Amino acid sequence: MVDFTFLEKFSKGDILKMKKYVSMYLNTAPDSFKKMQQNIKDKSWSDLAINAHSLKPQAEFMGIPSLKEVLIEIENKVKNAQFDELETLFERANAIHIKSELFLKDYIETS
Amino acid sequence: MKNQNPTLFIVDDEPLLAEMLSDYLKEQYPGFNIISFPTGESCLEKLHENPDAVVLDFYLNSKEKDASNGIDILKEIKKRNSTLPVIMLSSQKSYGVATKTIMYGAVHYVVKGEDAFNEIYELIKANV
Repeated sequence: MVDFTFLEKFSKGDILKMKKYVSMYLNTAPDSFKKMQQNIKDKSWSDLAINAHSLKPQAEFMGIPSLKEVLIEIENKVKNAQFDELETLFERANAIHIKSELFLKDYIETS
Repeated sequence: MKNQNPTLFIVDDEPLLAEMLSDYLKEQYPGFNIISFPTGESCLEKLHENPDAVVLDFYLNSKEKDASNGIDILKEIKKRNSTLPVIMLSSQKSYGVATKTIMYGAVHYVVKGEDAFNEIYELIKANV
């Protein structure tokens, strides 16, 4: 689920740098998911798209392409006013986030 | 680069990207003096320090709802200093957005992603 190929190349194998980036992601991503959950409750679709949009590059840098794909899908559904599937898509994104968060936390603790 | 120690402003409300970009640029050229801002307003407050270039995110209001967006900040920067190179950043591959930013005076529009870091470095080299 998490592929560090880019991050390792970017950090040139510097573990401290990688841990710094992973920590920064872990410090901000949960808040983005909380906001998106609230956006779903409030049916604030444009805010949902903005939050998904902002998280997209971070998911790419962390090597979580499956999350990036779902975030793109959320953005596109909002753009096309297809609101019915947004809750399901958010749940899918959140499930990927929970799994990847465990992996990333484990990386911080064990490397 | 004409200036040996150019000052760069990075404006992005996502700290991860700002940090990665700052690290990358300093690694390419240690002479860079880089200052990061989480909002466009905080960047405008320091514009009198005469940066050599600004890297500006298009969406600046994902964290603070009342924050101005990048295009408004771009317009304000250009009003105050029309020759200052501004590189716009966005996660959106949109021809419309790109055209709009160029129309308001950005030197280029870069899509956030793995290739963005080097692209921004090359643009800075060419413009400062």
